[in-house]
Amino acid sequence: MKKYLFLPLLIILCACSPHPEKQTSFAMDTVMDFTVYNAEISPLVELVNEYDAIFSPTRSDSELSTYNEGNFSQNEIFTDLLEKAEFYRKKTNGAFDHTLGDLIDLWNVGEVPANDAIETAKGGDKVNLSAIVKGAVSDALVAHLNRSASSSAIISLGGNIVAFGSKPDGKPWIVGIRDPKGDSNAYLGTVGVSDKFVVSSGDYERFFEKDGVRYHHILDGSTGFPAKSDLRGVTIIADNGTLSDVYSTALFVMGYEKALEFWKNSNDFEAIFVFDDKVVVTEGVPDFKLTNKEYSYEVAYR
Amino acid sequence: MKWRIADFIVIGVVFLSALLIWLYPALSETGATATITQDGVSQTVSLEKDLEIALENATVKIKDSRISITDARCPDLVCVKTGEISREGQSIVCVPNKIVITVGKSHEIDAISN
Repeated sequence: MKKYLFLPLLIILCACSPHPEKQTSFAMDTVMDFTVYNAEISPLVELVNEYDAIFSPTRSDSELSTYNEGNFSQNEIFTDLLEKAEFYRKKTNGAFDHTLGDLIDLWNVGEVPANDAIETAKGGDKVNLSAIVKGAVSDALVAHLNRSASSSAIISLGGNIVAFGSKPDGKPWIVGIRDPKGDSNAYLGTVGVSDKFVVSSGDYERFFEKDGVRYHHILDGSTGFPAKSDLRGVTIIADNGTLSDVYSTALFVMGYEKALEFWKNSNDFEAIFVFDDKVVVTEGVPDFKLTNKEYSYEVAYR
Repeated sequence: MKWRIADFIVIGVVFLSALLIWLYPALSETGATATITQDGVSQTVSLEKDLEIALENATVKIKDSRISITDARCPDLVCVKTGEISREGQSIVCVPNKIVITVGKSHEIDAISN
């Protein structure tokens, strides 16, 4: 039966088929989409759920809730991220601030709070890590994928994109940049990325409108109100997921001028700044293509 | 060692099943959602639930994970004739009423950062 020795080879060929595993899960109050080649998805989903259980601001049994009740935490994942959050708060001069928990709770009701309530909440120090935890878990996902057989995966954690490796054909992943004026499927342009995190923040994400004013979810700790940014959205592209997540929020809060200055003084990320009718793309953004011609676009140099 | 006809049949069968296993996911994959766009305004709907949606000058029907335009006021009814679609990337277009229905996500991009 020697002539059937080729059979195992065929089986191996089948195993190399380029069809990815796909899964959608719900965690952290949003949708997670996984597309993974040559690795199991379930450990990735479990990792996200693990972080959700630790950092959930709404679950009373989360490590975060316990910490906010005044208990000391020995959970290393928690204390590590708390330390990082403090580092970034200083680095961004408070534009990113993980101690706005009271303000966030106040605004979450969906109404404009009374002024004295805002003043009181501004003085609070309740920790809320929602603006950094998806970044942290995306770094953890990449660490896991690096230990797996996979060299190709694309994951969306509620719009935070993890572009791991390249597409199976070796080409970069094409990631759309959300058009703030369109619906959740609308994008104004695309980037081509390999082994990058692409994270966006904007006023279009979670908001309510009252008397013609849009109150979005990105709060400015210095005013206690939604950040009055001249930007509609900011996208960060970098090698570090935590940094990308933090900076997308922080640069939105800073506004264009300060954000551009911040970028010029850094060398570890690139950014896309979205205005009402214009897009500014920093020089290192890989393969940017404008697809919505209602926007004009220019390149910023260091 | 002589090759007999039976050997070639075995090889053929193995090759065919390999090919089928390889192609199967692409042939059978159903998108869980469809995006319906009319005149630039779009909505995403699940294909898991049977549903009828009234658009301007057209009716969209979702049944058994398949989506179709069942009725439209347009001269040629190309969209109705397209029939039911269910596989990712398939679409129905009605030019007179500016309707596009696409199953699954757009193939031009892999993800949207928002």
